[in-house]
Amino acid sequence: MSRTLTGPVPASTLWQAKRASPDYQKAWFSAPAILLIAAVFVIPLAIVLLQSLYREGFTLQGYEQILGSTLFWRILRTTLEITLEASLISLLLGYPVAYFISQLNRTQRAIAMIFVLLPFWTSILVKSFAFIVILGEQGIVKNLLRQLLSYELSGSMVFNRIGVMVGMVHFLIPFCVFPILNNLLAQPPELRRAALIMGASRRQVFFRVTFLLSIPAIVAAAAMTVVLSIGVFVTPALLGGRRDMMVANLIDYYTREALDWNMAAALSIMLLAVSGALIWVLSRVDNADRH
Amino acid sequence: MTAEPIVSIRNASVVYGKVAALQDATIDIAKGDFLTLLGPSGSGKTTLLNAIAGVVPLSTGQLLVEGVDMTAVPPNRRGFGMVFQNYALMPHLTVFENIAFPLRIRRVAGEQVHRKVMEALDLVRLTGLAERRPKQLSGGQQQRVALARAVVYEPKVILMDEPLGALDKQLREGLQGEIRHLHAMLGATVVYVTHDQEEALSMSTRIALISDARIREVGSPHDMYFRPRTAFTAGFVGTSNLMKGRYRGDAEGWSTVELAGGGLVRGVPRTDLVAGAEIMVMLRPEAIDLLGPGEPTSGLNLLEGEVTDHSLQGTTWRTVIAVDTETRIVVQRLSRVARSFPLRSRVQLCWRPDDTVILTQ
Amino acid sequence: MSTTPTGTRRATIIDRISLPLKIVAGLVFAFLVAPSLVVIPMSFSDSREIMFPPRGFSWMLYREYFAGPEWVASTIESTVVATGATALSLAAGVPVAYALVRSRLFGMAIVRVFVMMPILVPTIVFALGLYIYFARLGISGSTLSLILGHAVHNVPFVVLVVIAGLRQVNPNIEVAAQVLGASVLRTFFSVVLPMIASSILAAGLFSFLISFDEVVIAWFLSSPRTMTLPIKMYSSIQWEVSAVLSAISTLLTLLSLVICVVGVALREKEA
Repeated sequence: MSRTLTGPVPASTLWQAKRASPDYQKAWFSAPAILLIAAVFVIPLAIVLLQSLYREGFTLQGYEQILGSTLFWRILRTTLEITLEASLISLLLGYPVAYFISQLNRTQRAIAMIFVLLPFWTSILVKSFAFIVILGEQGIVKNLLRQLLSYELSGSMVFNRIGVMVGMVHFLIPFCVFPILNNLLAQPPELRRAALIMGASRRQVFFRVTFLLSIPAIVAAAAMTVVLSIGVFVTPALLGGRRDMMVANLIDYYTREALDWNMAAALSIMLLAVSGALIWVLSRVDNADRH
Repeated sequence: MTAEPIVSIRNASVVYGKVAALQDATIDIAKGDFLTLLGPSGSGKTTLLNAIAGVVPLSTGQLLVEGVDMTAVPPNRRGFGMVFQNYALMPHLTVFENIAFPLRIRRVAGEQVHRKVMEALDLVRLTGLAERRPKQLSGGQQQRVALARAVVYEPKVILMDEPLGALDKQLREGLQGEIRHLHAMLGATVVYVTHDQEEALSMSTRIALISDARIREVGSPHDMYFRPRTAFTAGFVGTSNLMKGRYRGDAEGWSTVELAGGGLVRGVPRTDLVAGAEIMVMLRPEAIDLLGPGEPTSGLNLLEGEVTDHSLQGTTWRTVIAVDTETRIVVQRLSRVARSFPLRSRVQLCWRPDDTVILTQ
Repeated sequence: MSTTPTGTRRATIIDRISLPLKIVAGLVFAFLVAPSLVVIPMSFSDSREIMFPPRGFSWMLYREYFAGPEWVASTIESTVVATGATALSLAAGVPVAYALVRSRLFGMAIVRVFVMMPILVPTIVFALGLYIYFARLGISGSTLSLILGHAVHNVPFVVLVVIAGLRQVNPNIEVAAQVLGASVLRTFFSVVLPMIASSILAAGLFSFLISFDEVVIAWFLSSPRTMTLPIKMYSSIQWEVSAVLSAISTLLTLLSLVICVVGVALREKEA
């Protein structure tokens, strides 16, 4: 501490002032998280990247092999099909639910939210097990059809694409409801009231005001569902058949069955690139919409 | 000032990215001062307060406390107290523990803590509410707790950031009195931020007017009101009438000004100006009296005009007079005694030369 | 969630929700809770055959679960992993959430992206990375490796919940504490933490549940010695579809319900 009353302030003092300032000191609270994520997230990802280029020396063989295999292209197609279909159905079912909940009062809303939060917090294994029971040969759906309509549904409802879609949609709906509901609740109610007073019908108010304003949330929800479903692993493994294998299952196969880490890593990097590209595209749409 | 200032700020700037929130501020605060930082919102007054507190680091400049450089000292080691607009009481602590907080940090002994907190509670007239939680108190009571917390450990300086901003008018006036009383009783040094010029005038020993990140003018409330040095000050502190004119020179203890709209008036001498300088003449609305046409005046400045608006404000009549096509003069006279003039009547405006303030633009 | 007086604003339109909307919403709600509801009656079945509706009533399947050494061992393993991962993710997530909300320093935008990365990257990719990494470090298959993997996986969730809680707190309270003499560290421990205690509790519960139910990372990292409950369930569904699963599923549903209700209540309390 100096007693200088005149003259310019040395730069070191100002630097010390900056370092002593609360903004600077609080930034140190990031340290544990940064360390943890660097050590247990960034390094493993870097290892995947290196492993994808390494097989007794540097090589692009893994990628070449993948791109040249018909199995890979078939599985990629399955993955994209399931991802897009499941996302679309989830949005179509999730939007009305979000809209319905947004119209409820506070207490009703809290109760309705339990219907969305409970499946959200339920283990994927509980859900998979339950769907095998519901959709299986001795399950609710088939038994109900048998007993009420004496109708024997031909074909299986589980261990095929139907099972996967049911499981995926069930998994994704809460992720659609949350952002859309937040958006709907944040919309100023005066807007709708003003539109009604100016003579718009309820249908017009919905399509010209509410729906248009909720588009950013729909995009956010779509981004979420796509990113979640593209890497899905458990649902196709438990509810799907052999033809419903997705990229994640293929990664698992190469890692644990074929013991080919190079292929598994190359596939992972490609999955990462595809999901990264999708996030990027959707965030662009989202931004363009906001400006 | 002969005594060493308790806080002095030298050429202080705060820059966020490319935006300067505070530029080249220099000001001394003497012990016992009640300095108000007055300015419109976004002017930089809160930035200056936060820089004094140490919450915001200076980008350039220096802060001395009792002559010691404190620029690089964090807020918790500056020994100040602070009061906020939204009270900032800790919701998880009782009133007692809130006030005891600074004492506990300073490791004051238990029985002393108890005595000091109780004294502080008495001081803000909240005796008996020690065990309540902040949420159980009204806004005014919460702010009194915050005041007690800020004075209990006798900090060198108490910083107040629009402490009455969240309260309604009546409560605000009550607490203004209380803060004035605290200041006088404890002999504390206060730096007070507000955008309310009436509050600044009524509470401060000194006012620093801040706009566009700079300190524009510093002076006593009396000077800021009756002898402002710039048109900005005159306009921000109180209502003012401004007329363009040209300075002619000083004579017989008065200055002479030729108004742009015609006519000569006498005003407060300004020896620092050269003859021919473009200036503004400032008149406070209550300094002007109105007379009918032709009525005698003696040694006062005089203008003629036509009444364009006339309304009762309660204590005063507010009359607007057009003296020429461009200039409107607002006059306020006590409604109990003043004569009323009908719309569009011709009147004479007269005022004393020492109420005529000459401003540079 | 908004703090506007939503109660009054909805009252005018509430009775006007159209019938088709009610029907659609009702059907989706039924679909959403069906799995959780189906497992409950089945868990009290007195036969090992998997069918719905079940026949009879007994505690047989619960007895089988609590008597099965593998089930108990995997439940204990999951509890240990979830507890460790929660402790670690809170220790890393709570401070960084505080820095993200309160520090206006330039680099914090980068830190935000950095700590959110684990939810942007497909879990399978991360899981593969951990599998290879821990194999190289020689700790593959250990409980520690599971704890570390889950902790990182949970950090973004903890951060999001704690950030939401911190946003409800007046930052001037911390400024006041500092001007009154408390250091940044002391302010964090004696002022900030008590004020966001309910958010931290909610974040901890969520973190515990996420880790307890997590399959993909555990699938890659656990060994027969450190098999977690979800992995035991996964192989059970894949190979035999044992009826004990309904008892376990009922217990897990109950756990989810409790945590979800407590979580909602904690957040309501804070708002």
